[in-house]
Amino acid sequence: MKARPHSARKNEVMHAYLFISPFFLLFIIFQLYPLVWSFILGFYKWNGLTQKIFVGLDNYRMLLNDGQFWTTMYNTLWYAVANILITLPLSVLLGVLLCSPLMRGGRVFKTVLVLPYVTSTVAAGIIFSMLFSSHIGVINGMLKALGLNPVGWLNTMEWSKYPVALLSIWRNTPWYMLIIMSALLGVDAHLYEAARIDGANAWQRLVKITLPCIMPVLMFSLINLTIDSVRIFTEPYVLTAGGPGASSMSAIQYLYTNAFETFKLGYASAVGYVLTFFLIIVSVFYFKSLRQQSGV
Amino acid sequence: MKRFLAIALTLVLAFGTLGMHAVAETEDKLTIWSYGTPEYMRIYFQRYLDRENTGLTAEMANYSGEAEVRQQIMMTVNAGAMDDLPTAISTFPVSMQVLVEAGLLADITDYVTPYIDQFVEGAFDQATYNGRIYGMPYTLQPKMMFYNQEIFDRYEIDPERMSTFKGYIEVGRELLEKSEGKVKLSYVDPSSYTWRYWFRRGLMPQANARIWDENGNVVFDTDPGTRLAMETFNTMLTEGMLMNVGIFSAEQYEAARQGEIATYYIESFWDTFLRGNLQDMSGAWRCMPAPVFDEVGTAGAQVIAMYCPVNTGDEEKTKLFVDMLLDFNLNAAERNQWTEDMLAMDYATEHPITKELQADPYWTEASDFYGGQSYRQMVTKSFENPSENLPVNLNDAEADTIISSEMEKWVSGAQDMETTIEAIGRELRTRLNLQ
Repeated sequence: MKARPHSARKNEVMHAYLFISPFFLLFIIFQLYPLVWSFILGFYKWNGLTQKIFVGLDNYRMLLNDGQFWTTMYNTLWYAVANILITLPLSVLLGVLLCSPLMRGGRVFKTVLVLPYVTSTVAAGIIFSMLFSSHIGVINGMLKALGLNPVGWLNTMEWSKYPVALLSIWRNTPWYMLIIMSALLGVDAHLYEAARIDGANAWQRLVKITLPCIMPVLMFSLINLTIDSVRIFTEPYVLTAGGPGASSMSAIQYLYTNAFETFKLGYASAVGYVLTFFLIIVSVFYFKSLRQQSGV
Repeated sequence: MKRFLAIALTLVLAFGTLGMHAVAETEDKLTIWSYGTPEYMRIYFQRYLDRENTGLTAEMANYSGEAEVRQQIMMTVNAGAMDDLPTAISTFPVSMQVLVEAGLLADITDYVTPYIDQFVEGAFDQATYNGRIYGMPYTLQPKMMFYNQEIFDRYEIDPERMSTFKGYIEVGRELLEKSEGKVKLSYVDPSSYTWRYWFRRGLMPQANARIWDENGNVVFDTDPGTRLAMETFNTMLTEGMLMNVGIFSAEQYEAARQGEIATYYIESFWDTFLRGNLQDMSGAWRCMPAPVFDEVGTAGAQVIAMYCPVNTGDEEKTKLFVDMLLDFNLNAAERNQWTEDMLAMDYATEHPITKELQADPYWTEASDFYGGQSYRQMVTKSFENPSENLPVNLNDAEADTIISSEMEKWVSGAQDMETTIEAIGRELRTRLNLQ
């Protein structure tokens, strides 16, 4: 076979680089540069307008002793666990139901179930704040009708995380349901037929066939859901503004408050990097599990 | 063909990116970055610019709050887009100090000094930093009390008893008792508004309380004035006189409509919110100057609302802007006409802060919404014998978040007053590295 001339190959490589250059240009300007810049900023005290002061590791040292930061980290973890424990099983359940041949009116249900995902989080947040209002909220109205005491959902520290988590679950479930449904539709129907012939019941088919077959997708969903949960911002921001007393504030919201309300840009950068560090640890753990699951 | 496509795509992207930096045409505009509901002010400004045949258009960019205005300034400056800076901004004293330190605000001392005597006492205090003036006040919010006269009639309580905080609390107890717990004295917001309004603007200055001493050391947990403010609020909170409900929320207005909230203390801005949201209660509300502490004896502090001209180097526009604000504060005919027009449109208005305008008969006229009482006269009366505002320094923005967080815990019932005071003192010292 005749070798291609060197100049033609060089041209091809040039074209390839030119085609991918838009992404890299945007990546460098909007992601890589801010990433490096914010890392450097973590070692400075700066309000964005006056002179930057180099403080070394002071921001990280202060962070370790900042009770409010750890409260927000705890809240973030709480949201992540609540999301994972409820969203994923619920998504699997809904996905299985909607993929079931016995399900009638599947399209209607699919459309209705996907609506929360396409609804603006801010709009949904406003509706949730009305639902969970202490005085005129429907939820408390129902509790009263059942003879129970009304609950200060949005204005007490013990309850404020629940509406936030619920809004997040309500928003996330449709998206993961769709992902899981696509995985379910890819499971070979012959496996179910064979299992039925062998006398397996519905539960056994779910546990022995469905879940193992969709496990890589479940792990992918788990990683994404964890990252989504750690990035939670709009839900607490709209519903409770993070309060009362940071009881529902997420770590990203704390970062935002430090950066854009009190203008401690160096400290906010340090918050961002500590959060990134935690996310990297979680992601590495998940990826290792994923490798083990898929036998790679 | 591939090469052409690749080059074209790259060029489009490059020009697109550069295009984002394109400078907007600002020559024929007088731009102000503001927050709240700035349209009513824009109308006055445009009228002034037209009257003076400047050929300029007043443009108000509206942001969510003072912090966002500062964000915009910060981003514009760091992007090097100095030509995009506005003529003036709305801001608070803390941010004003930071912006002055960064050289971003114009020193207008020489322009306004000849007119200062025409303003009420202390009008420029919060616009002054290191002895120089950087802001033009367009109003000072005095502290007032709005109350539902129908509730007071129903329970046969004399509202005049609320001229002191002692009386205010007694009235609260009586309302709870006579209404069997249904009528609350006032409201408390579960978020940062409690610190911002009840304390920073209300009880703290009136109780002569302090966060810092003159050297910037933390005295919040040792100051007797702070304790007075905290104890007063604690009595109302723990005795159930305050309805826990979001400020400016639909449910708060509904509670007021149902006769469950008897009074609104703190800002004179409640006039705009009550008129705008409770039109159906026209005639029921009255107002009076805020209660005073017997121990201190001064009325509410006046909170400034101001525009600060930005140091763009355009002296002509800065001068024009200051002249426009002077006209707003001093031109009785134009100001009164504008007020009438705003009221007709249910827009906000501002009470004058110059002696001559306050003495103008127009500013003593009765109001139907207040059952024939003159709201304007009451505002003027509320300017008398003011308390001093809390002194602010560059730590105040962060102090606000620290104090507010602890207060929210207190309001939610998660901790008591003593724990709150102690936690605030400790957190301020730890997180701000102070004594």
